[in-house]
Amino acid sequence: MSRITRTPRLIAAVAAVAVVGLALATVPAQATLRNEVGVTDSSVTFGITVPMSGIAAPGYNKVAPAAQGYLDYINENGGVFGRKVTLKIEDDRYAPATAVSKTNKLILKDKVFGLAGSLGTATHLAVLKSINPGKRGIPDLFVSTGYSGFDNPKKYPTTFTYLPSYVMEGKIVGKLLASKFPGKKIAILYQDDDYGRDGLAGFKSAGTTFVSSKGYASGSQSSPGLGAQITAFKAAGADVVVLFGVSSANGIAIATAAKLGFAPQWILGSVGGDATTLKALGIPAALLNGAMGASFLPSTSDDKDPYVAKFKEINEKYNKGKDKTWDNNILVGMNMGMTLVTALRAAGKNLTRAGLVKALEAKGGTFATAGLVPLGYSATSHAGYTGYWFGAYDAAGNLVPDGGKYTIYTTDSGSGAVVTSTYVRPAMPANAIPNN
Amino acid sequence: MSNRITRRGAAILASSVLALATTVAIPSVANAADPTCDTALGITSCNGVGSDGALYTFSAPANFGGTLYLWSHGYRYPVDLPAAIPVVGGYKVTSTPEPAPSTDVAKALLGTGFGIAGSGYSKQGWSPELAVKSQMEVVAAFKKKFPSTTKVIAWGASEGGFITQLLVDQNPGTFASMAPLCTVSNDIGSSLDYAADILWGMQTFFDPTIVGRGYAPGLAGYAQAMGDIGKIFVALGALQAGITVGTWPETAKASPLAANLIAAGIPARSALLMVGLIAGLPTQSANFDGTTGPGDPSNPLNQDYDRFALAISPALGVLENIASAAVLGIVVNYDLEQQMGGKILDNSTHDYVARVGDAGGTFNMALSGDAAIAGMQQVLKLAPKWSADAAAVAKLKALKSTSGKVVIPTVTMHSLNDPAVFAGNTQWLTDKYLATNSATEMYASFITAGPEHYSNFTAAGLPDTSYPAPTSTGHCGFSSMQFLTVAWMANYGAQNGVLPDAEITQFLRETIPGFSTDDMLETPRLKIYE
Repeated sequence: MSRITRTPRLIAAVAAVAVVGLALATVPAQATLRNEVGVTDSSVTFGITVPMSGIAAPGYNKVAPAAQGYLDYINENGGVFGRKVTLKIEDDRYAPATAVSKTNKLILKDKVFGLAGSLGTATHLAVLKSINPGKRGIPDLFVSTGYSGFDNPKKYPTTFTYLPSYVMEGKIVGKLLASKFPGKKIAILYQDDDYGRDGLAGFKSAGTTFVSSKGYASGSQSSPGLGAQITAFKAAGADVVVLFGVSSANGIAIATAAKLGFAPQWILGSVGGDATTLKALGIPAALLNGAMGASFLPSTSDDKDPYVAKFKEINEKYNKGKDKTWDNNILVGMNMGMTLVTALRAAGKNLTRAGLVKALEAKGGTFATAGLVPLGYSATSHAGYTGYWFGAYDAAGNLVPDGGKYTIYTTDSGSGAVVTSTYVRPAMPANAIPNN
Repeated sequence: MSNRITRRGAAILASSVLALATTVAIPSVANAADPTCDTALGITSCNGVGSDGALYTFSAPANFGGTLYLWSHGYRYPVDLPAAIPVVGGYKVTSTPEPAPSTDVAKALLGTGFGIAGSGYSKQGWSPELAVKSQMEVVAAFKKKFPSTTKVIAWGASEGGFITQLLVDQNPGTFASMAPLCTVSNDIGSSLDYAADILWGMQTFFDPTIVGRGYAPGLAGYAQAMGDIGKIFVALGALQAGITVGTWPETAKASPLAANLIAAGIPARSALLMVGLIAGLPTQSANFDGTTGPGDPSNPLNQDYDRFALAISPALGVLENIASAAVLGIVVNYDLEQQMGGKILDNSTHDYVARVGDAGGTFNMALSGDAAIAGMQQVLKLAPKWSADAAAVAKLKALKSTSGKVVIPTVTMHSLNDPAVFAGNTQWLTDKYLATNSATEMYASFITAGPEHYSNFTAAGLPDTSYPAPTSTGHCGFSSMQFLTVAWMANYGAQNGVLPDAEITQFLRETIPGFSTDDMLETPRLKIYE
């Protein structure tokens, strides 16, 4: 190793280290508390990862811009304790590794105060495993998936779910099937992953038996398609078919059945039941007419509902998304924004990450939101909405309440019974601006 | 376990050897106490032979400031490798001394007044205790030549990181700081644990004729091991060729259990990913980021982008990682079986359902859904497991292990997606340190990671490895700047007794390209510790 001469590359390397060394002398001493990044007296920033493009984007890509639209409305009306609330949106294309890198960016580079509304089971499983927001004390609010495993305060102390769990949905839809279609042959198409597994557990709990139960691997619905499953349902003589898949799978199933001359009573799971998205995927509204589904928010066509009316107004004026056609995805996003603002108010003026988590645990179950079913937040439960109402799709593709009025059913993700709830939603605060 | 298994590693070795060969003739007659020295351009370089025949080399500049970096090189194959083996084929056993991780780093250290030194060890393969002895002789020889030496910094990569830890454990007071890089930690058994998963998984799913362990003594065993390497590459080649459609290698059809999966229509790539997940192999590799598909993702006509990205890319990363790790895993196992006198790989107690854990949800699409996962896990359950020989295991356990104690300033660096020595080895050390609740800055960890997207595909949409892999990926694939950052940190620690403030360490993470900026990053722990 003798007779080494100095090369330009070497000198550059040494110079760079020297520069680093010099720069170290000027590292600013303005240390901020780790847990209180992302908030100042005038702003608080949250981040969301969501499929804004790619296979899962249709429909889901409307949620985050809608939430930001609601927050812009709040910001124009003074913010929360004087703080403007920002939602940084990152596109994860529904890919777990991308969700991790985008969440890392939000936390490390954008230095968000917390996460809000991140969407997807597989993607968020990866985030929780790799980044573990709970260990870092970072609020991980309103995760948009019904996977029941995320409601686990011991394992994920800062994670709060938003949608009713798929187990709850299975239990409640199972009750509907028993009461409305006694003696009928029922089949189910489910996504063969945590989503479908949760749902099947709920149906099992409800005592539902299927004449045919077929899964599809996530991503396989377009190739090779769902012909084998639909053919099996038809061969089994199914009168009722539950579609517990994503919108693209449900759409392919309905279209395939139409081609095969198979017209059962469809029951659409909430994940793949947004009519606007199904229509955008090429499913005529006529094929949806009479299908049944469930929701925890008011019907998007219920203009008498004060939240729906106000959110529509806010959507028109503030939503800067590429597609702000009013639908359930917009409603979900607006309501998520409102729930976030309500939580920030509950945490008080001196906002801390720990304080926000505590506020949700202490007061989250009483928040005034558009949800027609109760929120399940407490110190021992981080479950979001805990029930559904049933409805049927009309000729325009609107889900309208069965029997003309909302009947609320609630349950849990365990062995609790499905009950008809007497829950009365708190009145909407004036102009849908939380005042708690 | 070697920084020589990559093309980049081979290039570094070649340049180091070339530099040595063209500048200094290694003495033909060894004299442990009296190395041959030469001074040119202000740098004095010495070459000598240790008491056990190990070659060593050291250098110091005229403005030597009293601090020596002692470099411990990584695992070198103890046997020649047939030319037909990809990437490392044609390797001949070498004991060339190695005083720094690369020529550039050596030049940088010498140019800034530091001494460098390193032994080639008297025996290649897994022989850390012999290496420790050789390295201590190098320190003594250096100090004798340069009596102004006041501080010695121990650093090394891969097995060299393990040796670095042993040097410090066994020689208190000798070293002022240490930097075990892409290091093996605790014991070699913890790495053999996942090697067993990979080799057994390849045998179970793709080629039942893979021997995997229990190699015969001597040349017969060598032939078996080289044969296994060939079989694994044949299987991987078939898997790569059919990765988009999920074709199974012909050799898989000889396995009744795998035949069930083939009959069920489960793609071979899903089984390959399953092998990676049970072992804890990263789904990102040197050339594939595990999340990108071919073509322009923004092109609406590119319908297959997401299917490839979600269903195929993770398996592609695992495929390349197995290709990188297989030669090493087989040779290390062969090497240690010969030393221990029996079988040492053992997966008889591995619960593969638990080992996959949440990854079944995260990679559900790539694993082809719950039913496919259940089918593959049934195969994993039914396939005969491997059991080690008790006497051989006892000998293995009697080998020296590292303590994990951080008694001097310590800097670690590891690629998040190291396919050979998993980053969980460094996490083990980090966990040990954090458990001490030390109030002082005695430990800093740098984790390297590639850019978010770096996969390349041909115009036909096939995986393309003709592009150079980015730095910060692969096994010990660090840039010179990253090595020098570690060197700077270790020197700071050596001179001050503590590392720089955490704020400064974080500043470096955020300034030097290729480092994760996450100061709370926990890499996946080795399955054996979960």
